Amino acid sequence: MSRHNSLLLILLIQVSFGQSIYNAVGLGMHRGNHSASALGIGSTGLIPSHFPNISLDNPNTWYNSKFALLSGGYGGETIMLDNSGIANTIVDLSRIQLILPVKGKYALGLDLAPITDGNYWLKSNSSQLIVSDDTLTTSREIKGAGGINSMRLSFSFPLTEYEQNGLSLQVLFGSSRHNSTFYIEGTQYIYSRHQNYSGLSLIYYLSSSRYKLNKYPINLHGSIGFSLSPLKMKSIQYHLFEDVNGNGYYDSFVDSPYMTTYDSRTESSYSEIQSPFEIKIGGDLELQSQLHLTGEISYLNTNAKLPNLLSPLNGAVYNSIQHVNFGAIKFARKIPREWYQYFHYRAGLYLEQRNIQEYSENLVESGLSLGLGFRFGFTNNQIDLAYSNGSRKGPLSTTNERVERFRIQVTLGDIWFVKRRAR
Amino acid sequence: MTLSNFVRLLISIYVILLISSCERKPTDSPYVDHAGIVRDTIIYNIESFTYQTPPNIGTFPNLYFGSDSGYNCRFTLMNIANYSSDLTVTLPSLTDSLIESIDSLFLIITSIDTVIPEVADIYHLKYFQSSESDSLFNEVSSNYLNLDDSSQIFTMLNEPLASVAITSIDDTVTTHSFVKFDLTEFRNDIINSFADTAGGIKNRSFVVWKEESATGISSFYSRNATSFRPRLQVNYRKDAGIDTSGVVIIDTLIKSFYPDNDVSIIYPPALFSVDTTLISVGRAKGLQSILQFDVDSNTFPVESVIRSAELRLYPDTSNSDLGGFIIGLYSISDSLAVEDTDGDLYLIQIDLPDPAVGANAVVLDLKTLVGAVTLQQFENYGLKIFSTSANDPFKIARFESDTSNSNSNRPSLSVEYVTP
Repeated sequence: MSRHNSLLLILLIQVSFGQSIYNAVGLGMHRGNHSASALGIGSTGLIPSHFPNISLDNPNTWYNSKFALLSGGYGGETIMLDNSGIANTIVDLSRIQLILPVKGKYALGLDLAPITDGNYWLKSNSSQLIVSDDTLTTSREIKGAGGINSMRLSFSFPLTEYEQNGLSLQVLFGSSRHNSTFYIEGTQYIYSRHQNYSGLSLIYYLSSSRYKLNKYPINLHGSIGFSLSPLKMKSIQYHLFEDVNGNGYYDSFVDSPYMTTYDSRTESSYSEIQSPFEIKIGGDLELQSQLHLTGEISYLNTNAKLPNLLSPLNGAVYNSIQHVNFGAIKFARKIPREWYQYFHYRAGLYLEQRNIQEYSENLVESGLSLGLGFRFGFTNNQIDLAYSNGSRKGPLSTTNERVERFRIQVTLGDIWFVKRRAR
Repeated sequence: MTLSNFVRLLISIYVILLISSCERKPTDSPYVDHAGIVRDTIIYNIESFTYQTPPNIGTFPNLYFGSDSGYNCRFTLMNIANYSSDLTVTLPSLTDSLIESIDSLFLIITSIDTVIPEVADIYHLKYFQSSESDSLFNEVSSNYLNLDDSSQIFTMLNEPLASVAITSIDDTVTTHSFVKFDLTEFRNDIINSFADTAGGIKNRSFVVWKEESATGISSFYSRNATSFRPRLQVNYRKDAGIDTSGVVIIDTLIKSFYPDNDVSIIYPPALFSVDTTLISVGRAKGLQSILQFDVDSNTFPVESVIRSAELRLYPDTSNSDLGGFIIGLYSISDSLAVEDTDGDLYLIQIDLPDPAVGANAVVLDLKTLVGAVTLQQFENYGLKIFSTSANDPFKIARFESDTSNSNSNRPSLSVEYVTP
């Protein structure tokens, strides 16, 4: 294996230890953003934060880049439960992306990113159960991994001198695994399920640089997304079995029931388990040439129809997500004179509210974000780091969860697909 | 530092920090529900009936002779194997020209008693002469109904060749006593009759019976025993060639031929009401019982798994001296057959308490069987319960049936299952 391949392998390794009970709701916790620059201001990515007038998430801004961009992000999330001393972390690839601006007016892009986090590991307290005059000690443990990924093909083009619009075709795919383990007097009974997902969404972007607030330019951005093909799911359920030898796997000649002639799998398909609709609006106020104030608000309705039996927590699914954030960015100078002028400085506040079906109380998360970007090279290469610290409380947890997110992103610029003049 | 080195350094530090900070702990949550994952079902209406089959003890380690308490062990059949016990000699080879002489021929059956049996007992032997047909009997399926001593095959018997008293000689090695039929007078007839010179199948069977006496039933080791099996012993001399000095060498040899099938044919006593009103099993009387209970693939919720399934049988107080008695169960197929091997095997063995007392249930583990029924691996037509070959065939174990006056002593099936 070459040195480059080894590096790639390290980057792709996912260390999936992170869990919150909210990852077990529905299809998993929705990831609000995928780039370090957006995380730095607590944004969902609609508003430019990577570079002046460029957001890696918003195709309408890509034409402002003079260079093609290849970007990869890696990040993690740590969940800490108050008073429990438990801290769990997930580390994985947050996105890889290729952006191609064309003639300063158009842009194309392709990216791949996970959009939900279904990693969880929860257990119940032990309890006593009387069955046939026997007192049994029972408990249950549920464990899940995986989630939904997105491959997005985007392009944008100008509508007017001030307006730009774009489209993203989002192919949704992925899989998740769910295990329920019942412990009854030391014997474990395991019930497993494997789910595959597929769907197709379309997101329309509209941006305008027509307006000013007093003398300051304000760029407005909006997007609206909806399902072209609702999220489908194929579920494969494996028959409950008694893990006689305790190895965690079904062994047909050891574990019970003995299924040498029995097909233990049950397959079922669901044509519409989620049909999301999302709308986002935001503004970017340019106070000085490198100082920007940003604000953004978004609303996501999942239209989830996940059957209760297939939800890890007895039918709990996310109904809707509302997000609002404000941020400030001091971008690096185009021609730095001092060392600190090579850096982008980002800070933001965010508030996010999730509604869970059949619960009147919402899951509310708020927090502070900080980010730093280092620009280097002629072609706007950049390394971004971001950290956010938030707290959330919801109907399924008795204590607050502290959420820390961190991300590193490397973006390399180059002049691609440009016809060079012959010397 | 070049850019690429700088990026590598950053990533390395990052990965080390992340991995070193990762923890893996489950989170306690009251929202993870586990109530009701274990349930139980008790089925009391277990119907049963006892029936009598022709006794079959062909696979037992003992052979039986004589009669007692209505049991009549009329005769025993033994089919002698074509090969000697050390597999070096066949019966036809004893007719070879190299055989100088057959000096003596014995059929020896060894008593299971270490004390010397009654010397007054008289045992008779005949053999089936010049029969080209094999399978005169089958040790698994032959019984008094299909192999009566008045049946056609016995017309093939020659006249009695031996009638001997019990030999009360201590075997100096084993101290066991035995019956030894001296067949030397008929050695050539027997060996020629048993020899398979044509390459076909010969009937090499003896029939042995005990003259009626007051001494009851005598037990001898069968071919299924681990030692002291019946044997046909041949003492003979064989031309082994000429040595270097021109002297003819004659070997004196002893070879034993064991039976490859043997069975004692028993005429059972008549049924009593106690046999049929209770769940009764006994080999020599041919008592077996059928248990039926209402469990099928719809009895338990979909995806559930059987945690335990216990069939409780309550021994009748009339049982006695049943320590170590082992009962077996087979699931029966849609048609009931008398052989032990019908249906799918779900053999369950259990030592009955000694003495068996009415209130203490005997618990039979039916987890595998009920689990298989639940998964539709086969239909539940019921269970056949019987006495295994490890038991004294003349002992009968009885259990309370569904007609018992005591509700608590009726058979029951208790099933615990787990649902996802």
